[in-house]
Amino acid sequence: MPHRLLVAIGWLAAIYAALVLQTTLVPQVSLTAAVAAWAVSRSPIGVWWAAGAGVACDAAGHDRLGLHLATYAILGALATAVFPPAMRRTGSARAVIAVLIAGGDEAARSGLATMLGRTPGTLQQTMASAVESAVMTASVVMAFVCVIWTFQRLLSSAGSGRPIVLANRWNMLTE
Amino acid sequence: MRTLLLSPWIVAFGACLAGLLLWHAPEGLTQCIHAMTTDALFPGYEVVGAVEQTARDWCSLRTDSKVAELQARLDRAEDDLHTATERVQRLSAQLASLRSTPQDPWTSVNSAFESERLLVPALIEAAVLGEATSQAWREGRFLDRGWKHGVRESAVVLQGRGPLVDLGAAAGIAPEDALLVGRTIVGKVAAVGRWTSIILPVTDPAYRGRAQLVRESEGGPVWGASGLLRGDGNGRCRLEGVPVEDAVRVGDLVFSGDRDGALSAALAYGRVVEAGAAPGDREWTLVVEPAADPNALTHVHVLRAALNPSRVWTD
Repeated sequence: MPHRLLVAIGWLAAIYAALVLQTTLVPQVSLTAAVAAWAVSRSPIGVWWAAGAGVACDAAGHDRLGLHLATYAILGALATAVFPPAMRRTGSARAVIAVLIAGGDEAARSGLATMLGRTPGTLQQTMASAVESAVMTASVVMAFVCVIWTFQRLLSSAGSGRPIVLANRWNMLTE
Repeated sequence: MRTLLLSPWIVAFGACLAGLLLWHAPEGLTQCIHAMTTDALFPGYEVVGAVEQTARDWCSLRTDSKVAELQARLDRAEDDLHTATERVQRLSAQLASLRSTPQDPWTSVNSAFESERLLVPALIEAAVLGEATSQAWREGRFLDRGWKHGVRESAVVLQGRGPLVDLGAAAGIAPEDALLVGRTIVGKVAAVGRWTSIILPVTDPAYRGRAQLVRESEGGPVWGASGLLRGDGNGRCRLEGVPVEDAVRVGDLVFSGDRDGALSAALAYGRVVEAGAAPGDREWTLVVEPAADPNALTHVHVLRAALNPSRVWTD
């Protein structure tokens, strides 16, 4: 139980940090979609966390509530159905899920805004913004995957806490 | 129940229903949720801002320290260059003097009777007063009480317009005394008051001084043509009266033409930076750049000839 509580706190913290960074530093990158993709890739229950990220995204925005919640949950369920559990945990699958959630969410948001006449735009502009968001989010996810992979390789053996072993392993990785 | 919770499509369906409900939520509730979320995110914004500011400070600190280090190195290099330039000038003048001195067969005999010089150069350090300070001094703001009782500066200083140094007749300063920085002449004393003196920089159009060129030859530096140096009012000087028949090159050193046995070497004015003569001209048009900028000085030395005390007492 404490383990699940820690995991829940971790996901909440990740969603919070993603919202803060997304609204202050890089609005083009949908970091909440990246967190949702990561959660979905870990287990089927990750769809709940994807929905939670959608709720947070709704609350932090300026539009009506509910749109991000629905799109994150639907796209998360779709990714769960498309990718088998063994394949879902790979880095490339995480990037693809991030592309799916970020691009789909952005397409739904801008398409709905255009349909409701809130922002002038064409289908081409909607697609362009969706692709931009999807690509940038996927690159962030891939960068994070690379960092995690490097640290896992560095710390994967016993006694790896010693600096000399870490240095040797770093040399092996980079040679 | 657990199976239902783990089914992604059930979760997605529930999320769609919840989203539909939230979409039709009252405007007031929506705004309230937005405001609460913004408030909740505020600490995160503060942390990001602090981290950003720290990173920016760190970067600027590194840049500032690097600039300061480079500036210090530049200052040291400029000092070294100045010292080396002065040394070259001094050695060139000494070498030129040695070349022009006739070989005296009696030197070895007379050297037994060599005595110390009667007059020795004395350098008195003086501070150059700033424009505001000079103005205040001339208006009597420093001596307002004594000013009314006759304790006042000489009229020649008060009515003059040139820059001031903080030494006057009370310190033994006399008109025409040379002003030096190192071994470079930067001007002369134009008028002397009781406590202050007006100075005339070499770049002032009113400045006149005898000068002589030192040029490089195959056998080393030799004394060249003489002329009259005067300021051009634009931070440089002109050397006049040098016939076109005399050899002159850009880069030739310019020294004072007044020879004084009390000084170990001639004093420098600067260097020729432009040399030209139009067809039909009888004289060179020479522009001389002073070795030291007289307008940027805060301290100068006033050159005076003083009696050698050891010589006075021995005689």
